[in-house]
Amino acid sequence: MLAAPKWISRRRHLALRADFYLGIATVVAAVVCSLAGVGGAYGISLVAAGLFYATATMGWCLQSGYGGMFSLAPAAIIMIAAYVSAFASNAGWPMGMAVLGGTLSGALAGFIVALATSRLKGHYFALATLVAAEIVRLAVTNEYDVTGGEAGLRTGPLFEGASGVHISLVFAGVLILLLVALLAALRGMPGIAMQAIRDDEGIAAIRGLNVPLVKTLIVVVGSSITAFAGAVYVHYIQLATPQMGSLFQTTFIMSIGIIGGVRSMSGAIVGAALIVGLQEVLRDYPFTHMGLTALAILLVCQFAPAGFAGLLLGRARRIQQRFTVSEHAK
Amino acid sequence: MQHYIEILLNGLVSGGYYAAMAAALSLVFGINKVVNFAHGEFIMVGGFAYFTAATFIGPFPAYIAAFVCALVIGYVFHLFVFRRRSLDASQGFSPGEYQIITTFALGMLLLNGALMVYGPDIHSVAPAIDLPRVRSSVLFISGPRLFGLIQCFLYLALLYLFLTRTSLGRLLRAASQNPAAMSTLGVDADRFDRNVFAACCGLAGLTGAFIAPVFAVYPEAGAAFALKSFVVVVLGGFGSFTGTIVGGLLFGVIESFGGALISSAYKDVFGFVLLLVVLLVSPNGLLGERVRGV
Amino acid sequence: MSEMSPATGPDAPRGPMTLECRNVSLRFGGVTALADVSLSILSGGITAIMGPNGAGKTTLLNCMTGMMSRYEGSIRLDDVVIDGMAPRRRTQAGLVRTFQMTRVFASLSIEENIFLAGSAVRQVLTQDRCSEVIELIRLQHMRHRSASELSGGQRRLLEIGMCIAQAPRFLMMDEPFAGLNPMMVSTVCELMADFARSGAGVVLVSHEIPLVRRHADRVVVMAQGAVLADGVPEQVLSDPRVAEIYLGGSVARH
Repeated sequence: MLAAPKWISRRRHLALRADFYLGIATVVAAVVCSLAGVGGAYGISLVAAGLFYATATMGWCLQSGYGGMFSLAPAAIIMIAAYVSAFASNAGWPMGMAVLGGTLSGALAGFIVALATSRLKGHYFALATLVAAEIVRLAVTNEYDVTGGEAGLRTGPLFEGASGVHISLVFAGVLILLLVALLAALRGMPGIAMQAIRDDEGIAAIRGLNVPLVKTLIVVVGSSITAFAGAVYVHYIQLATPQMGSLFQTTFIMSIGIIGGVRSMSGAIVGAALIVGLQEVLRDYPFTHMGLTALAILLVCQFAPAGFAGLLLGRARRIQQRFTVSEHAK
Repeated sequence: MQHYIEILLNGLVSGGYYAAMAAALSLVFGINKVVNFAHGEFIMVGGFAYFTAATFIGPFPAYIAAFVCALVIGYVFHLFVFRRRSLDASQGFSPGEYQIITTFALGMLLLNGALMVYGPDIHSVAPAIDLPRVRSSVLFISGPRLFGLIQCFLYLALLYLFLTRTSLGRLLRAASQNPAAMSTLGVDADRFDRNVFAACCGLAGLTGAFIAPVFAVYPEAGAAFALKSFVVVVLGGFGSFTGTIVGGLLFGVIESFGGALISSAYKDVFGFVLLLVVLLVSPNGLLGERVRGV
Repeated sequence: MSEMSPATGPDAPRGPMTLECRNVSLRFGGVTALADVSLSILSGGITAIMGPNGAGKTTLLNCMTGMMSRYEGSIRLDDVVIDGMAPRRRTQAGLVRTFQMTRVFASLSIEENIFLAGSAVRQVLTQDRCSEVIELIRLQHMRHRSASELSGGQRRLLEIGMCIAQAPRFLMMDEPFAGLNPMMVSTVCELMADFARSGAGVVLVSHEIPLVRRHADRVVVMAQGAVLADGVPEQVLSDPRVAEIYLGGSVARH
C-alpha cells in the first residue's frame, strides 16, 4: 500500500508504516466500540469526544510537532471554527457549506497568525499565539449581542437524527483520510523538507528551500484540521461557547499531543484514547486527572519524548527485530 | 482634567503591582533565558502558602513560608526536569520547546494541586498591617491596596539595589548579558542556573504573598498573573530590570485609560494587543536594547 | 561511474560564466572586514582564495552567497546584479557553498540529504542522479545511514555531494580539506577537478599550499580584507609579499 520512493531510508519507511498502522488500528478500535455500543449512550458520546480531540490534536501536532511552531492557540481555532459553523448553519446555509466555512475561517486565523508572526520563534511564537487566543476568547465572551456571551450560541445537529455514532464515523473517516495523506506526504519531499527545516532552519534556506512558505503551509493545514474538528463537533453538542477556546481546552489538547507523541501520526489518536480514557476513570476527580496528566507530560518529556505512540512503536520494532534475527539464524 | 489624573494615578498603582509581579519572570528570562510559563502559578502558590501559614505562624513569618515554598518547588523542578536538556534532536524537543512544555506542565500541576487541596473557591486574605485608606480628590486607595503597594515598591527597590550595588547582583547581570562567559569564569553553569531559577521562583512566591490581600487567593488566579507578567516583560524588553518597572507602570496606565475611556469589558485586551504589537513590530521589546550576536 | 562527466546533471551549465565582485566593502562596527574587493571569477576552473586568518575569505563567500547582505558595492552573476537576492534565490541561481563547520541535516540519511538538496533547486532529482552523486562522494555503502552517525570527514563529503546534486554554476568550498584523511582529500580534489572541467566554476578557500599549487588555475591572496595578489599559482605563491604573510609577518596595505 502506498509505495514509498526509493531514496527514503528504510528506517524511516518502516517507522512511518508502523506509525500509520497504529493510528488506523486505534481509530478502527474506537469505531468498533462505538458501533457495538460499549458503555451505552455514554460510551458512544465518549468515543465521539475522543475522536474529536484526536482530530483537533492531529492538526496541532502537525504544526507544533512536525512544523516546530509551538502554538498555544488550538482552542481558539476550534472556537472560531465552531462559531462560524454555528452562525452559518443558523443562517440557513447547507450543513456542508457551514462546516467548510468554519474550517476555512480557522485556516484563515492560522494563516493570519503565521503571516504576522513569521519573524517570531520558539518562546515568542508561543507567547504571541497564547495572547492572540486570549484576545479572541475575550472578544467572543464580551460581544454578547453577536455570540450570546458565556451562555453560548445554540445550533442544529449535523443532520437530522445524527447521533454520536454518526459523528464518530465522520471523525474516523477524516482521521483515516488524514493518516493516508500524511503517510504519503511524510514519505516524500514534504516530510523530508519539514525534517530538514527542524534540523537547521538556516541551512535549509541556504540550500534553496522556501522556508517561510513551508512553515506557512504547515500552519494553515494544521489549523484547518483543528478547525474542521471544531466545525463538526459544535453540531454534535449543538452549542458553541467561549469555553471551547479556554486555556484549559488548549492544555487538554497539548497534553494529548505530547503524551501521545507530537512527532508521530498516531500520537494524537493514541493520546486522545489515553487522556479521554483517564478522564473517564477519574470522572469524579477532575483535578486529579489534570494533575496526573501534567505529571505524565513531565515524565514523557524526560524519558520518552516520542510519546506513548513512540513507546508502543519502539516495542513493536524490537519484537520485529528479534523475529528477523531468529529467521536469519535458521 | 481631574478625571484623567484619577485614571492616571489608578493606572500607576496597578502598574506598580504589575511590575512587582513581573520582576521575577523578567530576571529568570534575562539570566536563564527561560520563559517560565508557570510563573503565574508560582505567584498563586506563594499566595496560598502565605494564606495558610499566616493563620498558624502569623503574617510576617508567612512571607518566609511563601518564599521558601515556591523556592523549593522551583529547585526540585529544575533538579529533575531541567537537568537533562540535551534530548535527541530528531525524536525529542528543541530546548525551547522543552522549556515551554515543561514549565507549562508544571503550571498545570501546581494549578490542579492547589485545586485538589483548596478547591476552586476564592479566599480573601487580611493584610499584615492595617493601614488607613487614602482618600483625596484624585485618588482613592483602600488600606490593603496601599499596604500592598508599599510592599511592592520596597521589594522592587531592594531588588534594584541588590542587582546594582552588590557583587552577586552584578555577577547576575553579567550573566544575563553574556551567559557563555559564565562557564569560562569557572562557574558551574548547571548549578548556577538552578539556583537562579529557584531564587526567581521564590521571589515570585513572595510577590504572591505581597499581593494576596489585594487580588485574593484562588487557584485559577495564576493564568491572569502570568498573562499580565508576560505583557510587562515584553513591554519592558525581556530581562531588563528597569525596563520591567517602566513596562509595568506603562501597562497599568494603558489598561486604566483603555478601561475607563474605551471599554471596561475589554480592559484586559488592551495589554494583550499591546504585547502582540510590540512582539510583531520589535521582537526585542519596546524598551529593550538590541541583542547582539557574538 | 557513468560516462557523463560528473557535474553534468539535468541542467548542466554551459559556456563560461562570470561571478563578479565590484568594489565590495563590509565593516562590522569599526572593523573593516572587506575593503573594496573587486574580483571577477570565470567558470571552468578552480580559483583558490588564500590568506591569513581574518583576511576576509569566508566573509567574501558570505557576501557572494547572500548570507551577509549589508555589504557595499555589487556582486554580479553573468552581469545580473544579485545584491538584493536572498540566499535561497542565489542558491537557485547557481551559487552554492560548503561551510567551514560542515552543515548537513543531521536526522536525514545520506540519500535523503542529497535528494533534498537536489530537489530544492530545480525539478525533483531522479533516483539515478541521486545514486550517481552518492557514488561520486564514495558513500554508497552507507547511503541509508543518518547524517548524525557520520564521521566529520564523511559529513564533509556529504555536504559536497549535496552541493553537486544542486548542479551549481559556481561551487564555493570553505576549507574543504580540514579534518579529511588523505584518501578523502584525493576524492575531494578529484571531484573539484572534474567539476571544473565540466564547465562550472570552483572557488576554493584553503590553506593547503601544495594542494592549491597542484589543482588551482588561479590564486587570489587576501590580507586584511583586500586583494593582495592575484594570478597563476606559481607566480602568486612565489611572490615575496605572499610568502611574508604565510611566514606570519603582518603586511601593511599599500
